[in-house]
Amino acid sequence: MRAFLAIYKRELKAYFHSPVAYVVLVCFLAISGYFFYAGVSFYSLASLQVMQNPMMMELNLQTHLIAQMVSSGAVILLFGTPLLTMRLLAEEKKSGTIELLLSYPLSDASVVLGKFFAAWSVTAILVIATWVQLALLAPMADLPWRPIMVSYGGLLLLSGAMVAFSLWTSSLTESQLVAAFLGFLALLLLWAVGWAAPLVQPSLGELLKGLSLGSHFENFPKGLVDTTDLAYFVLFIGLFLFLSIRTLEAKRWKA
Amino acid sequence: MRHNPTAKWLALVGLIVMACGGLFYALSIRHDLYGAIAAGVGLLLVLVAALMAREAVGAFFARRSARLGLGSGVAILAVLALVLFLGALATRHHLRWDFSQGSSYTLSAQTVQVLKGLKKPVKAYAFFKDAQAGRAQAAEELEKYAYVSRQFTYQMVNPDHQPTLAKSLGVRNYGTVVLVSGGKDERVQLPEEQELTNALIRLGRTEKKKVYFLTGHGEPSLDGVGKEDLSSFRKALEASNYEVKSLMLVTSSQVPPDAAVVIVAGPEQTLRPQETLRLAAYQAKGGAVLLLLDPDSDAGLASWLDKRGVVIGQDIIIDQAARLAGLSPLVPVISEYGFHEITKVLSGTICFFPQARSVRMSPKPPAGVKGEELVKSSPASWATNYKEFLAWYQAQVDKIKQNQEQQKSIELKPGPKDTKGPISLGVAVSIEGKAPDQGKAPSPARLVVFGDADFVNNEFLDLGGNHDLVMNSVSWLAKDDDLVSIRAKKKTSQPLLLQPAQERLLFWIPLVVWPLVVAVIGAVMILRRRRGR
Repeated sequence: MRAFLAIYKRELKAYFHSPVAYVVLVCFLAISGYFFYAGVSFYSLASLQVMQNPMMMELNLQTHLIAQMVSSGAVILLFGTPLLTMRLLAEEKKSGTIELLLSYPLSDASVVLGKFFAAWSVTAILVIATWVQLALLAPMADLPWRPIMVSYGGLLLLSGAMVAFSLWTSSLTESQLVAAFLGFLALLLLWAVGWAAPLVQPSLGELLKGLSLGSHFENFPKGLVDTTDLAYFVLFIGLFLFLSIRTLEAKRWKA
Repeated sequence: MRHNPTAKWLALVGLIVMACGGLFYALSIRHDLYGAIAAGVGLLLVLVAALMAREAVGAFFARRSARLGLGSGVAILAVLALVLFLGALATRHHLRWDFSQGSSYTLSAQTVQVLKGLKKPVKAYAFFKDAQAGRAQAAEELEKYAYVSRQFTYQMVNPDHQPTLAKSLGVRNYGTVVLVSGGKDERVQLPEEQELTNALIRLGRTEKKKVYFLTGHGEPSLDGVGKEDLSSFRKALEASNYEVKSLMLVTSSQVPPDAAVVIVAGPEQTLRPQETLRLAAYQAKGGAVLLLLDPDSDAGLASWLDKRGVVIGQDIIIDQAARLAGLSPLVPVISEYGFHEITKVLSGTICFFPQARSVRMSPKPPAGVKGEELVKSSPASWATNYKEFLAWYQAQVDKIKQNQEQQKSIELKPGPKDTKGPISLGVAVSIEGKAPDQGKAPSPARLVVFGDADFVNNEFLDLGGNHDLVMNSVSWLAKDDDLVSIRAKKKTSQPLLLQPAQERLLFWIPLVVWPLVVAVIGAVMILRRRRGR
């Protein structure tokens, strides 16, 4: 536990002492701020039309604003997470500090977990930093807090899965660029693979949906909590942490 | 295994086959056996490959790293299998909590009960174009059903891509959902909870409701395939799980008690008094009658209808708008519908009534009679006296023939005595309490009258909304008592109108100020760190 905490603190410090975290944070905030503003403007416009013609559609904040904010946040995280995690193991491998790290009396698990939770904390800070938007909106509208909490809870779980996955891609290579690129491409594929479900035969479609990050995320912005989705994310994170540990361990016996 | 490329490839293929088979087996996508067989074949391939290159394999395993690596590989495979197993388990047995606004993802208790009681698998085909309005909502609604019962599956189909499927299920319009189970099917035009659940209930029925067609007055044939005949209508009824029979009321003492609906379609001769009495007796017991009356014959039912609050005109409707649609002006085009269960899904579609008469509700219907006008002709139409029109029209035709003016068409104009459109062409009536002719009615009798019989014949049934109009009428008349009525979820909107100042605030703070603040904090932190070094 102490080893884990030591690694966690070291990594977290490293994030906030280097420009990467800030660059990602600022970009994330600016882009999600743009989506927020665009969403609110559209909502306000649609409100005007709905007030003139109430039969036209049902307009509610959760479906037509919050869900879209959270979904666009998920897509931005898809780009951001590999950038945040790319150096975690790849850099140590390249610079040779990994040998040093492995020579300490630390278990591989505590190294991986420490790095994982540090990176997850940073993505959580990204997500929480966007709540400024909600705080601004709260006095102007009656926000549906329960589905909002579910939506953002889902976003945090999703970011955990993305961090675990791209941590693993970082463990595979010495090049940060390759790690980030691999992480991004594979995450994109995992995110979108469920979209193919309606195009293929139903049984295969079920499989694709079952594997897809996006399909398991889509219930959260609706305000639905399903144990299938929770289990998926927990298993997903667990699997890729385990694989990262194994890859790290392989260094010992390959050498 | 470097020495033997064939073995290498064989092993690779074997591993892939094994993995896929295992995956399919774990998720039980196909019949479980296929997955198991594939996994076995894969294993066999790997073993064959190992045998082919046994020397290389032996040398490989002699190394320490190989043994450690193998241990690691086995552990990874074990964990992967465990994860897949747990994932499949979590997919099959799950709980769900609905925290959405207004719990909009939760189906009503009635629907859940119906779904839990499904004994046979039900497959829903939703026919939508790819970007059609309402497609996403339909998919979402069907997903809720599929979530509750594993017996219920659905598929979104683009009828343009799969025309044969659409045709084999008799789909005419985009936006139709067809539920199929055990060789039976049910159509839903409006994929909302009440409609879908009722379709499920109808699918689950074992006995068929009986529909009787009155015969013996020159009605068009139920089996004939001529333009004027009704075989398409009969087939449509049978496709909707009705049993169709003909009824010679002159020779039977009463309307059979098992009749769900009696249809009187286009009689040319007058009904005998005992026949109308028997129809009335049937109605008095809560029977349902569909009357389709062409302008040339009212079958002597005018006064019978009058007692039920329905007035039929001795007229014919002429519609100039029909000319624009490329039809004869004697085929009024209907695009205006009353607010009734029968017509609620028809808005936006057009019905065609070749040679129709007016049918409207009496301004003062008898006590207990509630009626609604269902369909109306266009404002460009008018109603004119049938007999006078016929004589005048014949004279015009003769004149053209005499003068051999082939190209000239007959000019039609509303006369001073004619009634201007829109004109009602059909009504739906329910008669409660004391029946007008005799005794007490146990449940409200239902009656639908249209001023035309041709619109359901083989030539016109499939045109526009004609099919839906008459089928909806029959199912309303057949009064499906076991069907549920589910109040639609209250749709409440949360309008948000922003003042210009608020809008500016929502622009500047999230988009500019807040990222800038973070950037400044970052710059300060990094600079302090650099100086500290």
